[in-house]
Amino acid sequence: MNPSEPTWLTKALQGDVEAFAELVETYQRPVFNLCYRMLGDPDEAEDAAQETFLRAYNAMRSYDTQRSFSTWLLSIAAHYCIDQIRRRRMTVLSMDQLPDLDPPDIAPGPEAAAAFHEEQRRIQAMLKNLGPQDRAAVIMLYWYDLSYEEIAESLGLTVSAVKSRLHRARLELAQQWKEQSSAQPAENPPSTLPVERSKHGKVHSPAF
Amino acid sequence: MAKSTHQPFDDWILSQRPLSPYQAQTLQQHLHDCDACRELKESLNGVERLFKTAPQVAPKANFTARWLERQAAEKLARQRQQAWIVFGIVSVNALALIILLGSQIATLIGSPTNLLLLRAYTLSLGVSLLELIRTFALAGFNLRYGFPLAGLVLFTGVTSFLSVLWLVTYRQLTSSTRSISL
Repeated sequence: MNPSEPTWLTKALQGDVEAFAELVETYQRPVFNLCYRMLGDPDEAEDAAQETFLRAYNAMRSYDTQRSFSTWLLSIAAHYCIDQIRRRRMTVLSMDQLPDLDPPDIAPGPEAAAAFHEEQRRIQAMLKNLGPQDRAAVIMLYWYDLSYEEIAESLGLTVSAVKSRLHRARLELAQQWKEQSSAQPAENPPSTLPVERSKHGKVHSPAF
Repeated sequence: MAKSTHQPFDDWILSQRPLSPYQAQTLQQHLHDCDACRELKESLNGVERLFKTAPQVAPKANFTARWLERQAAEKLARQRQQAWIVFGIVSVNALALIILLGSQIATLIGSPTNLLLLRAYTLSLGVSLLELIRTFALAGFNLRYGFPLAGLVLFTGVTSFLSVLWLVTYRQLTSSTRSISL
């Protein structure tokens, strides 16, 4: 934790927008990452992350200082993303109509960037097949090392429900991994799936 | 992959709870003999390796500056919305006040008419009473030969007094300026 964070939190609780901006600067990456893993689209993830911080800023009075601020933020982000995914379903989007998976550029060099993009596509393809709450639980477990209790608190579930969802999600992910592995030639490991370009020029994995 | 039914090994593989030494040894033995469970374990290891080594994705540069702009825009929009709400409440109140005052003013405008009508009615009633008295007096004058003069005067006086008394009482009762003081 940044040593100045308690000061920023105290000031932000009193409505100081500049202090809250420091918290945005600190937590932008974990919040954006969760939104991106949940939604699979950088533009939607940017919008969701911005909205998460706005909601957090407007709800600062209800923030319990005994609780971890990052967990509270992730909880807001997860709920917002779950709502967005359900809204997508309400508009009867098929899986093929979902946004193209185009992760943001962070890896230097063309080869490293290509490998990074491929890895991100693979992750998103697997996460996309999970239900919204299962997806959120998996992301919180693997990227944020949250305990079952913290995941339960963040998602408004019981601990046993979280365990049950994670059990189901891990089985689903293992099945997908096996299917992708068996679809590849023996000499290619699963993480180097061949890619093809869509008519929009974006890269898709043939697995989805 | 078909759903495996190799209990309790499925649960041991998929749950993250630590296994006892006996359970761990039993699971290792089973994985050595069972292809399905071994595939499940290897697949899950692959998924976990991929997820745990994947870095957190960062947003584009100047995320905080964009958030500050968005926060300012939202604050402005909220202030405008609040201003419209206040304007709406004030407008509704003003309309209600206009309707209330209008009805009061209409009542005030209507009052002189009612007052004039009442006065005209009272006047006509008074005239009628005077006519009645005059008729009685005329009748009494004509009957002077049949009744003693003192009786006629007394009858006329009493009748006139009672008529005036009734007129005054009626006016007092029907006066619009009459009020009850507590």
